[in-house]
Amino acid sequence: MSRSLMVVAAAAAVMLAACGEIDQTAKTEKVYAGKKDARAADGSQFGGDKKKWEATLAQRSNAQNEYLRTDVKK
Amino acid sequence: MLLTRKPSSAQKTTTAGFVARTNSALGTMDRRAFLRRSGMVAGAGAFASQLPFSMIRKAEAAAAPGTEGKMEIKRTVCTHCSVGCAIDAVVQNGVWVRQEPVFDSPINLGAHCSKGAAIREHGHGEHRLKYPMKLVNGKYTRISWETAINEIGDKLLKIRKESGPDAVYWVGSSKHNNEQAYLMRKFVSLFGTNNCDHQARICHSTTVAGVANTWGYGAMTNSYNDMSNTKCAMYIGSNAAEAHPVSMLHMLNAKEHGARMIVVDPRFTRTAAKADQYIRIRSGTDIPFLFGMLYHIFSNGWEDKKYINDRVYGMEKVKEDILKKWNPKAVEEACGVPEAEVYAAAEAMAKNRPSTIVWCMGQTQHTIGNAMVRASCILQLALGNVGTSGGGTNIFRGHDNVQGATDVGPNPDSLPGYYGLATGSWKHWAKVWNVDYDWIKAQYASQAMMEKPGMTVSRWIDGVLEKNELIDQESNLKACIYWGHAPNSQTRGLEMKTAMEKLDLMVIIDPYPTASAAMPDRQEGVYLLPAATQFECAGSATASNRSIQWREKVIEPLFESKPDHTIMYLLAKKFGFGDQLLGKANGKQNIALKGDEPVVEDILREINAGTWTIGYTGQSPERLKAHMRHMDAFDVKTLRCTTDVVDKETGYNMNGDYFGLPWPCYGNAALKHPGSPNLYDTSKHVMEGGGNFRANFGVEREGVNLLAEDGSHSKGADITTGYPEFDHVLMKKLGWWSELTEAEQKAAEGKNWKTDLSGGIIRVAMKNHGCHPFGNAKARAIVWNFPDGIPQHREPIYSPRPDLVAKYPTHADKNAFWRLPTLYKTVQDKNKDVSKEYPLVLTSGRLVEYEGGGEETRSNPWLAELQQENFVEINPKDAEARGIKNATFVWVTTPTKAKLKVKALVTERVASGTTFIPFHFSGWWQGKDLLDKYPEGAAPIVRGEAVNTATTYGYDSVTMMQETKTTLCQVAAA
Amino acid sequence: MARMKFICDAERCIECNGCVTACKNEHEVPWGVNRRRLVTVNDGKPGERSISVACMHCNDAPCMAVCPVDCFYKTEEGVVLHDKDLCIGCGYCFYACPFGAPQFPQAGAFGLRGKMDKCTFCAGGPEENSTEAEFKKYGRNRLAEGKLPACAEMCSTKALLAGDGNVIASIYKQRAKTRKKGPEVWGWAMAYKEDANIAAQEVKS
Ligand code: SF4
Repeated sequence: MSRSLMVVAAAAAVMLAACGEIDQTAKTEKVYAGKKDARAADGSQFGGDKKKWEATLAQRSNAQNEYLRTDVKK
Repeated sequence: MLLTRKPSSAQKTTTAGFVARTNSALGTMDRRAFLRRSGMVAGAGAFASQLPFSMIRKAEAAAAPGTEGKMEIKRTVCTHCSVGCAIDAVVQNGVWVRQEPVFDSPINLGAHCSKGAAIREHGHGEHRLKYPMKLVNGKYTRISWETAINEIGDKLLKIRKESGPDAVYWVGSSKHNNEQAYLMRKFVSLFGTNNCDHQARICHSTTVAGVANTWGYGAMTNSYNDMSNTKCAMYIGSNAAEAHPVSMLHMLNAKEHGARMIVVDPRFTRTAAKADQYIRIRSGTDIPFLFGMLYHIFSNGWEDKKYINDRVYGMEKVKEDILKKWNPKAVEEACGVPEAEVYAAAEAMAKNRPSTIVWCMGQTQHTIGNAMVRASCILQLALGNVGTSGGGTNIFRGHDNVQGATDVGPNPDSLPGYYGLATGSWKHWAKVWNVDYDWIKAQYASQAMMEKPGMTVSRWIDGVLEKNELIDQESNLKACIYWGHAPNSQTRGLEMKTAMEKLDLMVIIDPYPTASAAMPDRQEGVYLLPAATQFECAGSATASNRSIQWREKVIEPLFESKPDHTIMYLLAKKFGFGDQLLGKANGKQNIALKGDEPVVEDILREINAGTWTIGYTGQSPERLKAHMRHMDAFDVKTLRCTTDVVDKETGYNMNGDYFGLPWPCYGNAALKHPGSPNLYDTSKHVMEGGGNFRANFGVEREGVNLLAEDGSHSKGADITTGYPEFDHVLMKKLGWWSELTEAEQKAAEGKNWKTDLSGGIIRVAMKNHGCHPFGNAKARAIVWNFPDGIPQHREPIYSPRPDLVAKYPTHADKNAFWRLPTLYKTVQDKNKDVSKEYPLVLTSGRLVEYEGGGEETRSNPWLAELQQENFVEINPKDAEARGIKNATFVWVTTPTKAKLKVKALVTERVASGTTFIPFHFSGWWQGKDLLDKYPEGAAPIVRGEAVNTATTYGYDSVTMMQETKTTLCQVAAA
Repeated sequence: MARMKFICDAERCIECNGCVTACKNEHEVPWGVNRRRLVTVNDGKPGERSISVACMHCNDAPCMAVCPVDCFYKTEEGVVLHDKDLCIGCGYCFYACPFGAPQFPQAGAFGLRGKMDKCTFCAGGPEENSTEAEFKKYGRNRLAEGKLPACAEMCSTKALLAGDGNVIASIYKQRAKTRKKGPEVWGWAMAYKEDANIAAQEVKS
């Protein structure tokens, strides 16, 4: 009972926070209770090679910047 | 089945909470979407109660990640607008499972609007026409393809026999690829009629005619990409943010680099929201505004005098006319824009050159559309902006292949490639088609009918309804074939329904049943044939910038649908001209057959073999496919490939090419012309895509030289002054004839550059001498062969301003114009005071989520969810005066007495006195949902009132473009 | 170490809804559920601006703080995900979220009835990467394929940016600097408190 009340109070606080710059840090320690998830780099494509995964992603990010193709010096 | 649910009460309660809280996070939020997108709001709220897709099950069965199966990537192009965004379709076991952005594409760099990002739904669509169907006792009943082709064929042959070939009207499509559009023109010719048309008529026909008559070709001069090179862009009658969203990528890039952006429109559009200056004009007054700008340009001496002297005919007279008629007071009276605003726009365009102008349907769809677009051209000519990167007239076309279908497709006044219908044109194409000219002639009612332009899609209903003695052909129309075209995009819906009911036969060939299936109250005499989409066949499409892109086939035709060109062949065979369609005679066959499907590459090769006029000759299937495989080789700002890039499959090196070989790409593929990125650009050699204005209107008029002046020519040309187009005589006079090979000489004897099937004249003129085959002339500020040589403002037929009707009256009535009597003055006079009863201007336009008549996009749940109801935008002042509340139903009535039931969207987006209804809806008829009248399960998810049910009479005086952008209405609470 | 974030550039967003349908398409999100949506201010008036909004994957995620069953977790890259097997569909997170991100499908889509659903930054959920189970419950896992969220990758004007916070901030900074306008990044102060307005500060200097 007290737990759910606290949650509601926290929810209300956060709702208010949406209006301004109020600190949003949760006041309670929360521990994830669900199933463990694999890391993104752990899929079949990268086989756990995090470096390679990060490099691929960094390169992919550049596709969002058309300046790399419009502002090239010729 | 997916339902269009109304929000449940649970949703309603949570909606309020969401709105309130989002407000707090984001400031005020009076977005129009809250009205229309009730479904979306419900979704954004907490507890939606909608059904999942059946698609999920399909994906599980065939496409879940990790399951076995052949994975393929097919490169295709979005079919929803003329930008031409590339898409990589991921196909597994024949199922289209995912789509990935093509970052390599220089056109869209991976970007998509909502339509392109939702394109994969095409691979799953449930709301399709699934089988051939026939209306029996008022119900659509499934039949076999064989029965369908036989019955339709027999009926059409009977009509042809009894009433002549001109009794059948063929509405083709801008959503056909080039090969299908081209084959359709050929098909109709072999049937023996010019009664065919497609969306371009009601889209940019006035542009094509107006612009081609000004300087040569009726197309966008530059490109979406080139807009990133501009210093100032003025959009007038274009809402690119909704109609051509990805074009905004290039514009916003330019803007970030300092370009100015001006939007001129009766509505404060989403494009206007991005502009530096927004100018509100009264609908239909583009000429007063543009000439108001020119008034300031001339008064301040901002015009490019040398350019005008060298390259423009008639500007002095135009200047005189403008200075006399369009002083700031007259301008403000007509279009409502104060002097300071007009001056600011003129100054911005003049002092930030190169500056460009963009227009769309806001200019074209008027009774004076041909004059409005020419006023835009004159502005650009005065500023010396045409033929330069960053400048030009960037005319955004609509459908994905409306440019291509205009170029080579079913036009009533021309064979493919703007060759016209003269005897010589027929002989040229008969030869290319490998069909006997006399055989074709015998298919027509007479040689006169063979050379007489047909009716237009905007007027086919009058071909049915008009008194027989008043029409310029034997019989009235008895059958209409809607082959990839929505009926709700044409005006005068009430009369259209009557016409549809009067026909002996209606055939709808389309992936969707379209409103044509549901509109008429008929018991029989309607057939529906399921056509495959462009993802279910291969072929090329021409984007607005004239670049041609090749689509790979993504999946096999869904359900029982067949590709359009296959259906054409099946019907041709039934009619007895299957061989002619394939060009099979004398031991030769142009187009091979695979099963019943004509091979698309062969069709393209036939287009290449005959379309010299506009340079559709260099774009061989091999070159186009190589480009598609190496999109990353092309620069985003110039579209050019500047290094050696060799396609493995063909061994083709595309160094020097512009992406998609934008037409004109002259000569045969072996000449290796790179395509033309910006038309009429004298700063480049003709073999590098350069050019100049076309010599198409004679060499002299009333003693004035029409050719370019001394020193004005494309870079490196051997002739350094103006010159006429090339033919065998000129070649001989110049002593260049000997440079043709013997075989070329044989083919070119007695021919000009357009009819020389060897391409020799073009090769020698361009490659050896740097000269333009179509000559080097001046652009015409005065198009003397049009009703108003110098563009004149004329009030719309249904005008809100009787005082201005007296001052700027419309044209006189015409007889036998495109085979039909066409009224101007009579209707305007009769309706001079109609604004007392219908005081509000009614205009129409696009929504980003939908395309055209909308049937296709309203059948896509990912899009349909975003726009669930049709609406009318009305200013708060006008709404209040009528007691109309936001988001409530209203009746919109027009002088036709039609009534539209739509939701009111009360917004300042429109000025007081103006209303706006988007044109993508259909499926309701004056307040009634027609769901029952569609074949079961094939109705679009979202249905609504079509604005064109209520639009009025009025047509352009050159092209028969319909007036949709300015009419009148009254709005009342429902 | 990458920290995944979103930026929506209001100077560029044209409210085309491409991000919305890209998301629907990639994850086969059912009708009525919107992991991403557009919000417009001053609609139809000068000053009209739009923003594409989804879960921002906040630093100190309020949803996480209020969840009574602790079904939320954060990946190494800062993506906020949750376990639908645990979720009881209570709706607290919806009320806690300043961006209105959590959605609650009622019918049987995404595994189970009534479970919360939201933007996953195209990172799937607590099932084996790129499996049918993950797809059904959470949608595609583009991150595991070395790709970025579909919404941003397909944005019509490249207004919506996704990826490592530093990388996308620098893209945004370059633009803001070029156009000398709009350095404030919407939503960042609220979502990523500690590095709020980094982009702005550097542009102004
Ligand atoms: S509709 Fe046009 S802008 Fe949108 S994705 Fe398709 S081609 Fe691109």
